[in-house]
Amino acid sequence: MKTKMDFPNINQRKPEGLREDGKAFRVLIVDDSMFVTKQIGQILTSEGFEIAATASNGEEGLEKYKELYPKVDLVTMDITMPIMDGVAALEKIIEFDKNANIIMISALGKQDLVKKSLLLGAKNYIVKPLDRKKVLERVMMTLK
Amino acid sequence: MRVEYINPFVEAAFNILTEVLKTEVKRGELYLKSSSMPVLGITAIVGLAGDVEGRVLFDMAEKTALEVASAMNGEKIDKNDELAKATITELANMITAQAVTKLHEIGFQFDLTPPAIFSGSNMEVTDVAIEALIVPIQTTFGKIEINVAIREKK
Amino acid sequence: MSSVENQTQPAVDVQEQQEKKAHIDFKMVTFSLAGRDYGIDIMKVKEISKAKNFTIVPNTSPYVEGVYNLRGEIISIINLRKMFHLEYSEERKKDAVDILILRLDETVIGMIVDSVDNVVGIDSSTIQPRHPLFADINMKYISGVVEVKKKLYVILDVERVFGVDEDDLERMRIIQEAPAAEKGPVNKARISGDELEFDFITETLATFKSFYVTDINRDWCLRRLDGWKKLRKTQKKPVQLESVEDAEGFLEEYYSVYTNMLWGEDYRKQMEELVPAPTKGSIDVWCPNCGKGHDPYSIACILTLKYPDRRIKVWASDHELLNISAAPNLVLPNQGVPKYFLEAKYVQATTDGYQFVKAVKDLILFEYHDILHGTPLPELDIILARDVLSFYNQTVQEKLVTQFQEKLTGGGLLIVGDNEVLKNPGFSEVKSGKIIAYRKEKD
Repeated sequence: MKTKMDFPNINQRKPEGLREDGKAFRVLIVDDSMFVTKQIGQILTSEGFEIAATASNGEEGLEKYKELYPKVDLVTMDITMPIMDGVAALEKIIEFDKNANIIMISALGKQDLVKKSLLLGAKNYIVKPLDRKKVLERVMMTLK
Repeated sequence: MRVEYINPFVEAAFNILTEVLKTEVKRGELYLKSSSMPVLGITAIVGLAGDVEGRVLFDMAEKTALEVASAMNGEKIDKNDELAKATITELANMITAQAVTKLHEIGFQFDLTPPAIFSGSNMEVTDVAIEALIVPIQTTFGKIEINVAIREKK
Repeated sequence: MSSVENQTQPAVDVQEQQEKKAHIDFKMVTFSLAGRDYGIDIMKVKEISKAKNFTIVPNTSPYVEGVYNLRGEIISIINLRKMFHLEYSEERKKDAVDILILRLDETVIGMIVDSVDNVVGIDSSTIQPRHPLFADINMKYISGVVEVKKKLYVILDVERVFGVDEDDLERMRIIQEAPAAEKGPVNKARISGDELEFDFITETLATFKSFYVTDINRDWCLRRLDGWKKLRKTQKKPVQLESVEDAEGFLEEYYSVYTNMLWGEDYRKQMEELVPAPTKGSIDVWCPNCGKGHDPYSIACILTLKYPDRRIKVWASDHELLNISAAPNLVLPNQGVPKYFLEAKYVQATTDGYQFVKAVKDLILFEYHDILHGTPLPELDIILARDVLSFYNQTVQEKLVTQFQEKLTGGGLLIVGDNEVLKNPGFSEVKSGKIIAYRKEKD
C-alpha cells in the first residue's frame, strides 16, 4: 500500500538540517509513543538532521541529554509521559544547561502545560497531529 | 448521554481521521447501545475523568488497524507489533484530545487518562448502567467504531 | 447431592513480622482470573477450597455452576468468568477447581476462580480509586486497585457482584427483551366484522407509527374509530390504514394539547394546582422522550416562577437524535411564546426568534438516551410522560409504568397524554381543568 510522501528534492537546495559547517544538527527526541518518535525522526532525517538519541520518558530524556552534551542542538519533548513528564524534564534540563533548545510536543487540550513550559524556558511548541511543514517550521524557528 | 457532548466527539473523529488518513471518511448514523457488545478485533481505550467519568473506545478489525497504522506511518505494517499498537493508541489520543478541547471551550472540564490498547478475538465490553453512544465511521480501510460512554459524577 | 472430593484449608495467616514493618490494616485474599489479579477483603472470605463435580441445578442463572456440599451446608457456586462475561470453557476440568467461599452477611456463596494465590496485607491508604480503563469487568464491581511488589490487584466489591444491584440488572435485561407476542384475536373467523376492523387498525398503527393500542389508549381508539369511519366515508376512502399518511391522519386527534409548543397560561394554571407542594429544597422532574424540549422548558419555567426559592432540576431525554440535539438551543417563533415567559424574561430575542436564557437552560439536562436502557435518577417529584407510553408495546409499557411508580416519591405526580388512561393500583387520579394526572399514593 503506497502513501504519497513529500520528500523535498534535497539536491536543489541545502537541507535545513545542516549547520553552516556542513555537519548535521543533532536532535534528542523524548516521547513515550513509538509512533510519534518515528514520525518526528522521519521528518527530521529527511531534511538532513541527525537523530542523536531517543528516550521514552522524562527521566531517560534528562540522562541522555547529559550524556550527549554539549553535542546536542535540539530536544523535542512530549508533555505527557510516565515516570517524569515533559514539563519536569524540561525544568531539569534547563537547570543543567540554560541554553538548551527545547520544543514541546503537545496533544490538544494541554494549553496550560504548554504555557507553563514556555515560561520555564521551552523555546517553542508543536501541537499534534504532526505534519512535516509544521514540524520543520517550528524547528527552524527555534534553531535560528 | 448529554447532548452537548455528542458533536465534539463526532467532529473530532471525523476531522482527525480525515487529516491523518488522507482518504475519504464517512460518518454513519449515530445510535445508542447498552449491555455487552463484541469487540471488532482491536480496541484502544481512553479514560475520561473530571466532572464526569467514562471512557472512549476506538474499535476496529485487526485488518483495519494494520491498514490505518500503515497509512499513518507511510510504510506497510502487516502485523500487530509495538509500532502498530503505538500508532493506534496515538490516533485514539488525538481524537479524544480534540474532543476534550472542544468540550473545554464550551465549559465542560474533563481530562483524559492515558490510553490503553486491547486486542484479541471474542472479547466483550460490558457496560451496565452506562449507556454508550456509537459513532460509526467508514474509511477506505474499513469501519472504525467510536464508542463513548460518559456519565456525570453524582 | 453428589459426594464431592475436596481438600479444604483455612484462610492463611500473614506473618506477624511483616505486619510490624509496614502499616498493614487491610488483608486480601488474592486470586487470578483471565490473566488479571484480584483481591477480596479477607474478612469476607470464609475459606478456600478445591472442588469438582458440582451438582447442576436447572432454572438458575447461567452463571451458577451448581451447588456444593460444604460439610452439610449446600451452597451455590458461581462461575466468575461467566458472570463477568469473560471467556470460559464449557468442558468440565478433570481436576478440582479452586473455589473461594465467601460469607456476605447471612449468605454463603462460592466462586470459581482460575487460581487462588496468597493473602496479601496492605496499607489501605495505598488503594487507588477504580480506573475506567478496566474494561474487562464492569467498573462498578471494583472498589479500587492497589499495587503490591509490582503486581497490580483489582479489589472486588463482592457485595456489588452478588448483591442488590442484581435486581436492577435483571430489570434492565427484561426491558430489553424482544416484545412478547401480542395477544391477537383468538380466532378471526368467529369475531365480528367490527372487531376485525379494529384489529386491523391496531396492527397498522403499530406497523406504520409504532403506536400500540392497549388498555392505556383503547377507549380513545374506539371513539376515534367512529369519527374516522365517518371522515373516510365522506372522502370516499377505505377505513383501513394503508400508508403512513393514513396512520398519521388517524392519530392527529391523539396528541395532547400544546404538543411541540410551550404551554399556554391556561395549562400553566391547571398544572400549578396539581404540582405537589415541595417538601425538600429541590424539585426533581423527569421528562422521558421529551422530543424537541417544549415540555421540559415549560415545566422548568412554571416551577421556577411558582417556587423561586427551590432548586428546580429537570432531566429530559429522547432517543431521536435530531429532536434532542436541537433541544438545548430550541428556537421559538415570535408567536410561539406565551406572555408569562416574556414577562419573566426567561427568553431573549434572537434573529430567528426567541431562545431561552442561560439561567433556564441550566435547569435542564438534555440527553440523547433510550429509556429502555435504564435511567438512574434520584427520587422524583414529577414525571412528565405525555404521549410516551403509547409508543411502546404492552409488555414494555407495563414495565415503564412500574418504573415510573418506583421512581416517584410518595405524593409525586405522573402526567401522561390527554388520551391516555392509567388504571394501576398505587396511583390515584387527580384532575385540574382538562389535565388528568396520577398521584403516587404515599406509603
